[in-house]
Amino acid sequence: MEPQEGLTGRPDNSGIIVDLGFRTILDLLPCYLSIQDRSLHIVFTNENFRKDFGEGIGNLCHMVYKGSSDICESCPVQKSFKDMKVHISEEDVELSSGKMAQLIVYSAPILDASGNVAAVIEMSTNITQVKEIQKELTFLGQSIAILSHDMKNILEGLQGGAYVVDEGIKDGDMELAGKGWDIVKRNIGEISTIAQNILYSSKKRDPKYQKVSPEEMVRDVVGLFEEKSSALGVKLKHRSNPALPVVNLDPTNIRRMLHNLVWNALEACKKDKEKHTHTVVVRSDFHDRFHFKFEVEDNGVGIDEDAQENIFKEFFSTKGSEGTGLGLLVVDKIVKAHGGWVEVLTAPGKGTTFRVILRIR
Amino acid sequence: MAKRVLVVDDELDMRIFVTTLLETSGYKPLSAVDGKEGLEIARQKKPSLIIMDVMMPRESGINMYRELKNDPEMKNIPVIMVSALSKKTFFHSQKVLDEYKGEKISEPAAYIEKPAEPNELLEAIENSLK
Repeated sequence: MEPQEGLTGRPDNSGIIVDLGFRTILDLLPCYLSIQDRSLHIVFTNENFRKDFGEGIGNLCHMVYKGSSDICESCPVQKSFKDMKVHISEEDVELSSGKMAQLIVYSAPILDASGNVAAVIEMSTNITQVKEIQKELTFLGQSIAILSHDMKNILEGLQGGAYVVDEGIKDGDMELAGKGWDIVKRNIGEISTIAQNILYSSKKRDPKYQKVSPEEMVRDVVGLFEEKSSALGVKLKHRSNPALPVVNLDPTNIRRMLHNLVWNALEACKKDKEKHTHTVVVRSDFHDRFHFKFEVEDNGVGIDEDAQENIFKEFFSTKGSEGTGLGLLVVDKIVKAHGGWVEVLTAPGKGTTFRVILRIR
Repeated sequence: MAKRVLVVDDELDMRIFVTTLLETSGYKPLSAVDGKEGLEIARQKKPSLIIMDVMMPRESGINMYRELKNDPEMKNIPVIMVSALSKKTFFHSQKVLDEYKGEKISEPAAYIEKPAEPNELLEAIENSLK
């Protein structure tokens, strides 16, 4: 963009604009306006700015926008001072309400009579919502790609299983037919897990609290996986502290959450070819005086460092041909809705423990 | 003697399906769970055909395929790839790797996208063994 002329133009002589006055117009602008001097101190703000960031005048802009004593890395104001041009950048800021917001920031130089940059005006628009929609769209695109990949694998399992059943029946070989039927059942299980996770992640819902015993939750879920774990040759155990009180939880959601963690743990064991025996332990115990925890521990493949950063992102999966990566996203959502948090302890090649910490209430 | 066919897939279901298909069609199936084991068995048993998945843990099908085709003793064994990965994506990955490594790896005898129909797979097996 060409360097802009300084704001030295005169107001139009006709109509209401003059009556309102420049200051009022600036205040009415549906965006944040501030003017900074060369030392990045704010010398002017508009009403919208003051509403969300406080007074600001006399303070450093990075302090006011971000609460940071460091100059922003991509500071557009300094750039405009330097090259007298308009600059655009996207910044994460903290409103005085404590909320975070994403802004698109335009900076333009204000020239003095001799053509030097006297100050820089910064105009920004809150694009938090746009960004969220963008994220959702990316999510949708990725999810469809991964889902279709998953569906193909499950269809293959169903078709293959049906073929094996057919051959078994044809030859009167019931053992073979039984093998095929196991394949069919396993794949029905997979597709229903995917369907339930999709349903969960596509809806926003508040937990429906009931008094339940954490131990019971653990036992329920471990029971559901007896068949899968024995088919994989993985020992599945549960350990619960009997002193744990009854707590308020959404049992359906907590079961789903544990289901996903156990499913992942079994998959991690299945992928591991290094160790001879595999064990998954599901625990419930106290965390501290106010919190209790669920733990799902496996001695499977573990999660490498790169993957650790991504595990709670939508549809992140290391499973390659299996798994949508939706499972952990759902875990994260359920735990957050309960006001808790998740910790991950993992060592590549050794195993992983997922620890879900919830308040005792 | 029945021809030996090696099946390489990390999915137990897929291994059972393809080995059943092979057995009932008069072949002798061998199976491996990943690229690494696949290569070992291929070296030892010299199968007449290899049917393999592309995405597998430890050593992927993409690597295994290139190693097979770079090995003078195994490069003539026909390979059928069976994967949920689209054919286009697989061939593109091969092209990129060819350029990157400065080599030209021949195409597999057949590439079948999952879900594979038993008949389709059987036809590909018969064609590759002609």
